[in-house]
Amino acid sequence: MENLWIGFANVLQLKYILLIMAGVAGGISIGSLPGLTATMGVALLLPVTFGMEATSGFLILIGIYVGAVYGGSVAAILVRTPGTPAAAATVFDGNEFSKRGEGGRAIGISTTASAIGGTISCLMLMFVSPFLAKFALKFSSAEYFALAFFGLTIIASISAKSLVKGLAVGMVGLLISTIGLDPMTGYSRFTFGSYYLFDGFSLIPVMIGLFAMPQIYTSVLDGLDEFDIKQKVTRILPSKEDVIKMLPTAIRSGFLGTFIGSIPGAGADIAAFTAYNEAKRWSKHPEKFGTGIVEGVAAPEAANNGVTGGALIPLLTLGVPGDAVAAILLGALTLQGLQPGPILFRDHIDLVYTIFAGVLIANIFMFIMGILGIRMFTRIVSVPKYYLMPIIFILCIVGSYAINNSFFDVLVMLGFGIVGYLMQKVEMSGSPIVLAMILGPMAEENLRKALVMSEGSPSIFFTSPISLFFLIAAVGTIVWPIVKNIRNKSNGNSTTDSGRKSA
Amino acid sequence: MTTKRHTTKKQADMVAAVILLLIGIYVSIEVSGYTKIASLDIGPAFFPRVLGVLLIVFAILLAWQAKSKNDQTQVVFINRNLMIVFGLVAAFAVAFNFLGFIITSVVLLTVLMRLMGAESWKKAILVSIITTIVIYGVFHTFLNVPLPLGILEPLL
Repeated sequence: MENLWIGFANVLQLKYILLIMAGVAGGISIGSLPGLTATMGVALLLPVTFGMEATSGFLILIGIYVGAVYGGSVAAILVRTPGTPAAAATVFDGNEFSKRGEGGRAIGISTTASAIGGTISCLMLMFVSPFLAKFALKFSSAEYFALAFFGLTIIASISAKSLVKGLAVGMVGLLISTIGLDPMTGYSRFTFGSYYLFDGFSLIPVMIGLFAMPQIYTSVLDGLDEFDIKQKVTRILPSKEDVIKMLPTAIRSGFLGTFIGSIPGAGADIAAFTAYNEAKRWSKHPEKFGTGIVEGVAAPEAANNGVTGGALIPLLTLGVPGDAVAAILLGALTLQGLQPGPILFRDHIDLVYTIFAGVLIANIFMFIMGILGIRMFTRIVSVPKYYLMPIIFILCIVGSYAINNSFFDVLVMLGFGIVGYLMQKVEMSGSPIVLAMILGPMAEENLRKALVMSEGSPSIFFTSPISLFFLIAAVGTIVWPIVKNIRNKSNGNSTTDSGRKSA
Repeated sequence: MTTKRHTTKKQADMVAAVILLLIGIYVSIEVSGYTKIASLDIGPAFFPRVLGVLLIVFAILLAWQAKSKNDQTQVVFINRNLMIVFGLVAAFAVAFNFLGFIITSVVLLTVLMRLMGAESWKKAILVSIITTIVIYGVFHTFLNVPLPLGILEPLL
């Protein structure tokens, strides 16, 4: 508790407050723009934070994350196009409000629900993380290997429509992570003799390439949609009845979002859809979902902001990112010379609690800006994208260059941009590559260290209960969808998952 | 090369499977040349070797799935505008060191803006120049990243 007060005392300096505010405002703007995602925003602005000290840099990125996940709902409600994938589920009911001329009311509900979800996840982050970190201190190589392995299987199985594609992409990501000098022996792997590759590919250019460039190429291919908001947005502050109506749904969805966020690989979009379906299932009048009801907006919005704090739990305590944005945040910490994980809690406890406090403050600003300033943000939706997209292209180039002042990184970014575009075309997601690049070295090093400790006997992974648990969970993640698939087929395909795809 | 190509989802998945398969085979060949280090450590080849084999397995599975699913939905990979953009990106990669950031950025921005629907060349050029100068200034002054100027170096 004492640490928490120190954290708040740290954050409540004018400098940090201003940075978080700027981050949240920037995040809401990015989120409001269809085509710009939270992942892209954080990846693009990461290079800007290099020059700052660790806390400032991290807090501004947190602000962007929280703001962007919320901002996606504005376009979802007003123009029927989610600003970010996280807001895709908000379209169903949110846009119905707009059709009735109640766009402002829907935004008010979304703002309140987002703040509730975000706050719940932040409280969970504050109270769960220290225990998890203490627990993780006991982890040795075997447990870390099993954890990384578990994380990788989940990422592969949920990030793509097809399990095989997810697994194949994950393998490619792991192979990319082995490029460079082998950390244990110094042996050079897949470097083609080029010293540029001795350290492997830098994570940030790969991420910018995979997450930002495909969007640009797709808009060149398909042309741009421009949005013009004619509706006057009025009455943002939700009425008492609306708040009372949404409260149970928002709280449940906030917890659900936090939980989904804390699972490696599952991000805000999955959380929002799951929460929407759960809210429908719990509801006494499920048939009203999709007609513009309070719960239909509150559930996905509370859940997607619930992810923000949830994703930070495994990131800070175990060094395993909860979703793609958390992977970039991990990159941000590593660039500052900080290694997330239990050691961070031991050696930099002040920073950890400052982050906790910062997440809460970011949620508060998100609420205030959403209620007071949303009219301004709705204008952003109509900013001409034919100016914006090219500028983002240049920012991708400059951002990649800035990391090491090296043009090689720009080439890496451009290369992965094209790879990412082609992958999108064959319905493969880029996230497994990025997460595998982070978890790969963790898996390999700990696998080898564990085997050295056990003198080559693989039994070390099965005698530790924690390691065994993760390994069983990992196998389950892979086998379960296959079993379900086979069972569905033998049942005459009657119960294919009606959730995400039909929704 | 024709500008309009019709590719089905099935074909696209097949090509992806073949590429993944080739990567897997390449990896397996490459790591077989790695030295074995005589110690308890399982060595630098072990992890990539396992990954390479698994990648081959998944690539074959993917090909098999694509074959049995037979999805004839059309996928459009490229059109004229995107080809221009890819060409521009290639030219940028080659010319950056020589021409420097300012020139390449203004050209890239202007062409992209026009391709994406900016009303006129004049407006596109104006916005491009302003954007480039602002980005250069911010990175140079505030973030301490000197973007290379190329042939403009002697002028500034």
